[in-house]
Amino acid sequence: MSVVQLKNVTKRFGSFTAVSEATFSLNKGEILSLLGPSGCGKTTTLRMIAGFEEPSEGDVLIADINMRNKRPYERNVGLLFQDYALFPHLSVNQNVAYGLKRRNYDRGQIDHRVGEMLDLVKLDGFEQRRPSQLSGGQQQRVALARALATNPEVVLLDEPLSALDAKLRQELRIELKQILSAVGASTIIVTHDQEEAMSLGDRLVVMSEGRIVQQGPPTEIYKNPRTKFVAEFIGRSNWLRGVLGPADRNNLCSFEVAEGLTLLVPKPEFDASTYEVCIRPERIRVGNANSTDGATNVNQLSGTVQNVAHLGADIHIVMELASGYRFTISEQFIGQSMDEYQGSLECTFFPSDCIVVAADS
Amino acid sequence: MKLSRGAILLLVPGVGILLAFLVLPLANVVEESFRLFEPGRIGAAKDAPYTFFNYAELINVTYLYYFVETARIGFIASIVGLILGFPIAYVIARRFTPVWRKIGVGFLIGIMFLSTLVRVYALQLTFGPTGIAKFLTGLLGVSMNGRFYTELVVILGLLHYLVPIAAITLLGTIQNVNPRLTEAAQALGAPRWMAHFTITIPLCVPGLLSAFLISFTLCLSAFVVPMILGKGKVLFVSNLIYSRFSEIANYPSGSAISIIMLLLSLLIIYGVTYLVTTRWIKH
Amino acid sequence: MLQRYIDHFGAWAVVGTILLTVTFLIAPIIVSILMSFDARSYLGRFPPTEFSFHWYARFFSDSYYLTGLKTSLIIAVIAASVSTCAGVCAAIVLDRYDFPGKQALETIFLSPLVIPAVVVGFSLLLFFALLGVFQGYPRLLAGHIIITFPYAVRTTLAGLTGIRRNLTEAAMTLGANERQAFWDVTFPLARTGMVAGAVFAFAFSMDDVAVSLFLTSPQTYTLPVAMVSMMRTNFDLTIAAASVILMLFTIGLIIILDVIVGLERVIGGGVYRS
Repeated sequence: MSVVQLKNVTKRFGSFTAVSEATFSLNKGEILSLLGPSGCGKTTTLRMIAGFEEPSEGDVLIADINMRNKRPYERNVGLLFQDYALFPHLSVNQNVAYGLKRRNYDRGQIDHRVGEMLDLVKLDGFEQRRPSQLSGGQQQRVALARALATNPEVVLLDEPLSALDAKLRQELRIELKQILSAVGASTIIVTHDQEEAMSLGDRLVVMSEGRIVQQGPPTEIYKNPRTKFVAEFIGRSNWLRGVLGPADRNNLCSFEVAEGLTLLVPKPEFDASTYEVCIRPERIRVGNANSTDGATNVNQLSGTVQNVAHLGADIHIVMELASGYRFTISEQFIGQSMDEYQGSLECTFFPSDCIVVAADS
Repeated sequence: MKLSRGAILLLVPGVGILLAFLVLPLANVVEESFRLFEPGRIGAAKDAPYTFFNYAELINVTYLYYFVETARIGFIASIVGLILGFPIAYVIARRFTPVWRKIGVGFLIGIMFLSTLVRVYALQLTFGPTGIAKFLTGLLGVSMNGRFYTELVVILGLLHYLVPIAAITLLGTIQNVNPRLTEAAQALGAPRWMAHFTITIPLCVPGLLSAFLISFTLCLSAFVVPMILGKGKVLFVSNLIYSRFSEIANYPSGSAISIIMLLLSLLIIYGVTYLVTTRWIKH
Repeated sequence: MLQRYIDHFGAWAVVGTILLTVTFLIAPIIVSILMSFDARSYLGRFPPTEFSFHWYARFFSDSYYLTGLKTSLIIAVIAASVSTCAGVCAAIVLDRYDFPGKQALETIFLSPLVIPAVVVGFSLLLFFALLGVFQGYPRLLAGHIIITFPYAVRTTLAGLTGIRRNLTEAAMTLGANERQAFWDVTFPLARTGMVAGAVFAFAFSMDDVAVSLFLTSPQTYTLPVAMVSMMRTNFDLTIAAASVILMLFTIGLIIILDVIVGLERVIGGGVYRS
């Protein structure tokens, strides 16, 4: 059963179209990540679900009820603002109780529910503090408790972790996911951070320039991005442009990038005038064809090492091919010496690791 | 949000006050300023004929003199106010610890909030015959009742108000100039005084200009300072309007002067501010 | 080497200028405070030789001053209340609603700040004379309301624009309608701005001379007007005593402002602090 449904939702501001024909749905108990670069329309989408903007066209349904002309307070939506929007003149207790009071819970219910919520976000003992006396992480948890307190049909999180520093973000991401699944909240998370989107979301909706470009489980989108934009936005990638040949018996096509550089790639399921191929850095292995245990149809490249960067768990190697293309290879650090990556280098990858997309015209 | 009926209701008191106590009275002043005045009356007669005389009269040298004098003295006081206010603002912004900064700001605000009359009276006691007038005039070699000394005291009276205002306005400006810039200039070989003249002061130009504009408009409409400290020898346009009312009850002439003064003030505030913001602050 | 001398000399010159300026700002105030305690019964030269409270006794037994003080306080309280109420209403609309001519309306609301006070006083005098209404208190009050109104609008507006809009939105997602969101969130947060506006309005009403001079009558006059006429005709130090009393008012107002908004916020802090 879907909790939230968007049907062909379009939002125009004057002549500018912020969101164009967005259609997706959120299932009960599911966490959905709305991912895209800034200005792609994801925040506008969120604000239409919350009721701060009316769609120019299309419908927003919450619990199968059309939300047209319903004010924010007539919907049961929990919203976690990017900067938390905690009421500075109210204590933690009063902040969490605010929604319950406005929704006419009685005194005893409010006290009970506030205690329960602060327990959930591990903030008991902070009841009487003002928001200004809390750390960024604590503020975020108060805001979350406040948004969850009224048992909303759907919880909307607007860039929930962006105001925190990198290390805290990692910790809180895990905590956030635990809290959300503990209460079984149906959640939409808006973010521009692909790691955040993938780690929190059961499903991704990728947006670009007001349109939804792809939706599906995170792994699926990472493995099979449908456009160059999606492939580039999610994860690191090496790109080659070339001419696609006919398919062979194994459903593999030749892909001629330059003279002396032809790859085997899977046959695409669509037609396009020109194609591009993307290879993820971590799918490339250093070594020659002999090291692939006799597998056939292996793509092999050779080039010279330009740069080696040891980033802790990973090593990034930039290799230049004879044709001038540059490739980034990501290797796991397992104690090897950096001297291995010097001078000329060979590397291999399987055709199945090549992602074929239509080239942007 | 779009304007609702409730919102329009909220505007009613404000608009009403403005209309009843400012717009309509000013409109009436405009009307009065074109009426012919007969000496001996109080104001113009209800059916007095219309005339440009009240404005034409102002081109007369005696009247122009008031405008020129007001502008000249106001200009001097504003410039000196900036020169004296800037170092104070700089020291408070850059050299003081937070506790001292609070004391400094409190001091400036205190002086600024001081009732005009308290200020004027204090200056009169200090720079008048009861105070250091004899010493000062002896030092300068001028007469205590002469034009020069009176004008000096009027300027001091204006400065007592302008210095804290200039300093407070500039405090914000200086706090927005990155102190690393002067340090960078010094690291690049500029001595400290040159670093200030080539880096700090040019970066404060918008602030200096707005402080000057605030000071200058305050001077132009100054009333109590010239009235008390000017002792009838230094008179500003405001005092001219007041004397039109209190001494000869020539309301039409007072109206014409009021209108000219109002237009000049608005011209300086909105016109010059517009020029300054488009030329200096945007770029 | 020469540069160093210039730096050195320049620093001392700046310190000297500052000390001289600060002396100029403080000394007259100290002089008038000391003079107000002068035991001599006439206006003598500074410094006083003996001290007493007799000028204060004179002030508090002189019905001319006391009437002025009473009128000033009554007018200031009423004018500040009226201006604050009207100003808060106007500021709320200016902050929360969008409509054509909004910018112009704001400029007009703030315009009494830039119109010379003498012009305001003069125009009100003519206007009320023309209509033949409003004598005494109401006439004086009208002048004080119009000069204090823009302060109320400006400080309330500054307080309101400092409130991030998403706080209202947060209240609305939690079930509050526009009216409830205003009273629960916006109003409590804007209250400091409103109180500061009222304090400013009170202070400027207490201080005004230019407008009041036109609108006073022999029976209704403010303390500053009384002091002006005394300054022109009388040569005694009751005015010094009156000054000190007004100074105490000023100090009180500054303390109130510091407690409710903080002095640094009155002037606005910058980005770079040493």
